[in-house]
Amino acid sequence: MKLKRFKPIPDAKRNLLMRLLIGSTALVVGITAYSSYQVVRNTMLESLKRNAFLEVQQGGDDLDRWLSNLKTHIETLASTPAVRSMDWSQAEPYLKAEVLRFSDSYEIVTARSNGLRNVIGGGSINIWDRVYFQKAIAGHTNISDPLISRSLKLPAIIVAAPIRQEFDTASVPIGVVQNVIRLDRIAQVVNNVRYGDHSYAFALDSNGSAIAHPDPTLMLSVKNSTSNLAQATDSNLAAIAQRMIKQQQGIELLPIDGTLKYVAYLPLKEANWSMALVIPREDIESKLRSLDVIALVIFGLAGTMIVILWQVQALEQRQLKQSKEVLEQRVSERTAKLSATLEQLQRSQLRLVQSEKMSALGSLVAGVAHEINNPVSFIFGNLNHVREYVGDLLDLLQLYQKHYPSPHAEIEQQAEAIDLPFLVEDLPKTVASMRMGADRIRQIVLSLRNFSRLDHSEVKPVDIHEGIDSTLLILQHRLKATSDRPEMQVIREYGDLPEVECYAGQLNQVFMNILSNAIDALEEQEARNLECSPLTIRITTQRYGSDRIRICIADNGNGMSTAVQQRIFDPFFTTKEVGKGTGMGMSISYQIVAEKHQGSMWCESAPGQGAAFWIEIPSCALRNSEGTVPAEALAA
Amino acid sequence: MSIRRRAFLQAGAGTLLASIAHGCVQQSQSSPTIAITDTLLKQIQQRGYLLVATEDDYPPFEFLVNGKPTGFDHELLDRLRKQVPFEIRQEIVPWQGLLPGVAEGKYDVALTAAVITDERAETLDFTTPFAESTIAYVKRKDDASIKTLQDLADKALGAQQGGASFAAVPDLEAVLKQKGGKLGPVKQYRKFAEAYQDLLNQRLDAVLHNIVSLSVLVDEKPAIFGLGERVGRKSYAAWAVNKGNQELLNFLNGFLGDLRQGGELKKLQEKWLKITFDQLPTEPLLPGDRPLRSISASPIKR
Repeated sequence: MKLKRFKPIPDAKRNLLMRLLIGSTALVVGITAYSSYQVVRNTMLESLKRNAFLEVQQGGDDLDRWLSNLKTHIETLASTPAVRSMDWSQAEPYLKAEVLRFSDSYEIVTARSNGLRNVIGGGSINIWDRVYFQKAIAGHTNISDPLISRSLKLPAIIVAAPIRQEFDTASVPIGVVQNVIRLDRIAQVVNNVRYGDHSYAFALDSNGSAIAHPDPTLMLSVKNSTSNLAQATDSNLAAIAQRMIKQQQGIELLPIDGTLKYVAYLPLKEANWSMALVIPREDIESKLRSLDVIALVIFGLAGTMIVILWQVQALEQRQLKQSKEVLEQRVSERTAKLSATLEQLQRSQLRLVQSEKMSALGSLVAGVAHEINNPVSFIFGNLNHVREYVGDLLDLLQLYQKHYPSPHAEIEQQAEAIDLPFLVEDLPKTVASMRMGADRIRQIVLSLRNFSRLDHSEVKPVDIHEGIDSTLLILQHRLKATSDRPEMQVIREYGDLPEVECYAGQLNQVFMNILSNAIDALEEQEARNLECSPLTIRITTQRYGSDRIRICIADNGNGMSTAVQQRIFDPFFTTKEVGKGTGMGMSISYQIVAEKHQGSMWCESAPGQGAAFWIEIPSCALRNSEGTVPAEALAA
Repeated sequence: MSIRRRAFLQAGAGTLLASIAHGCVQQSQSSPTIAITDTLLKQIQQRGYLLVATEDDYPPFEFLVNGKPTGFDHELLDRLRKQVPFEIRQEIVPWQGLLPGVAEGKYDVALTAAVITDERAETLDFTTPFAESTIAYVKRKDDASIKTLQDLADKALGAQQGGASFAAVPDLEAVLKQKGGKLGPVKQYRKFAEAYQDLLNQRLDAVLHNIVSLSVLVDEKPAIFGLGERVGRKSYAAWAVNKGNQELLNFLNGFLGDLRQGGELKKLQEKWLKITFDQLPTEPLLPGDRPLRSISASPIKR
């Protein structure tokens, strides 16, 4: 029997779907997370860059404030009476004291409008060619680019202011007062601008020369005249220097000295200088490291979660598969059980039908046999008298013939007409023949009763041989020769069997089935016109062990193939033409032997070698095991 | 999923997490280059860090620029920090509390230019000196009358009241006397700034001060001052530790010794002190190049 199964999505497909779902969710979440991470990171980076720029700006502001103070200071000095007097002997002590008071100052001196500058301790130097002097004498307080002081031979910057006779700023300057400032003071201010451990700041003058730089070789000194960063070998650095000269500002990520660095730069207000802060990329981006770490951790956790989910899903799939397998197994077990039950039921039904049929047939046969038995008894019983009377009458007739040799002509005529001599001769024979026929009828009736055994439908000790003989008697007509074939010979090789306790009627049915099949097989063989050995059915009985008997019914027909043998006891299996056999005979026989008698039944055959059916049953076991079995149970 | 693949995935995830954790924990650590003894390390670990004390206003050794500590000693401290596997904490304290704090064990090291004196050597141990603290003189640059030490005879001198510079006056007097001259008037000042002012105003002809301070002054005001010769016994500046802390002393000496041998010390002197010392002793010496051990063997009573 086949159960109708509902059709689920195939496992592989569902698995794939599930994984696709997990995968795509992970992808979407991943992309979202990554883009938000990028947004946050960029925002943070921008803010960090702004901070870095603010740092430079603050440094620049510091420097500007300092420069502004320098300018204010020199302007204040320019308006003091001692300086205005333009009398060096008067101004020198005052300016010296100012130098001592003012820590950043190397020296403060005045220059006349012709460019001749006073030198401490006497003498003079012409500074007409100096740009700062020209600017100052033109009326502008200004700060020079780094230069080597002509009197001190030291690198310095100079803050120069015009000296005017009066406070009127429009008046023509009468000289210039100038403060010679230590260059390294600027370096100190600039070097303090930091952003992280590995950053450094530098400042460039209006030409791109270093005012302050951590690399002393770049700095202006007595030994190395000047080094212009705008012409540096590092093209990126040179580009930055160019932008700084142009007084631009910004923050950029550039490869400098082989590594990527941020450079923040802006111009100063008080001088045509520019200041820059070089920050290694890590210094700024290390602040983002915690973010990166968090992102990594989240990424790792998410990855782990996906893996776990994946595994959980796989586990579920496995369990689902397992439980499905178990379910399927159960279903198939149930199905098998159900179909077995159904089969059993069908078989029981068939057996019931057959049994009913047999029972009905048995009743019929028994009834008929009983009904026939009486008349046959009359006939058989009276036939003796008939024979005596006929003998008496014939004796009387002979006496008449002896004593009246010449009877009346009419009598002689009649005697001749009826052929009296023949009649006298034949009548006893006829009676004998009738007696024989009646006897046959009597025997058949006995056999029928014996076969059906309606009166013996319980376990009884019976003579198996009697059963076989009865069956053969019933089948007598089929054994006889026909126009197509010779008579079949039945060879009985009966052993010394005890009375066997069995359901005799049922066993007779078994013999009937096997013998019918054997006759069919022999007829078939004849029909096929095979070699003409005598058609024989050999019936052997024997004891087997102490308490079992064996019956073998063998024919020398065509035999069976192995395939047929394997199915010979299956219900509804038949090799006969449609309508000739039910396919139930052997099956029922098997059940009778195996189930009712706890015996066994098997077949030995090969194609062309005939077939032998063996029945083995216990001779007395039934009583021991089951006792008396009611007829109803047998029917079931 | 096969067990094998699962194991791989788990191992992968584990490695990832481990590397993240490792990344979190690991910090850039410079490898120590100075040998540190286990006992010293234990000693430092007891406190948890090495505590050093520096002065707030002692240019060019220690001073503040825009509120940030800087100077010769700070640069040395920065270098030291990069070479040790432990934390170094710094406390900036006034000079008056610095050496007593180290003597009491409040601080591990007086990371300042402490002049090695007989008195201090009784309670403190000193490292090898990294600078001279000898007294010298400064004059006006345009004063041609002073060219050598004996030109100081009969000149008006300035010195700090009760300071080392004033203590060097007898040495100068002895030298002048030896050359046939005699000491002129010596004026004492509370602050050197006032002395320099008077020097500039020609009320003084020379000011006595330690050679480092003077060389820095002259470097700053090259137009007005000129550095003269040493006038007194040679004395030296070094770091100080609590007396008997030989392990720590050896460790610091190792650090300073490496700097001196590598030429780094000379560069730092040039940068900050504006003067270099070619023949610094390799052990702490008392003023006048007297060895310390004789003192500790038989302490002089004062």
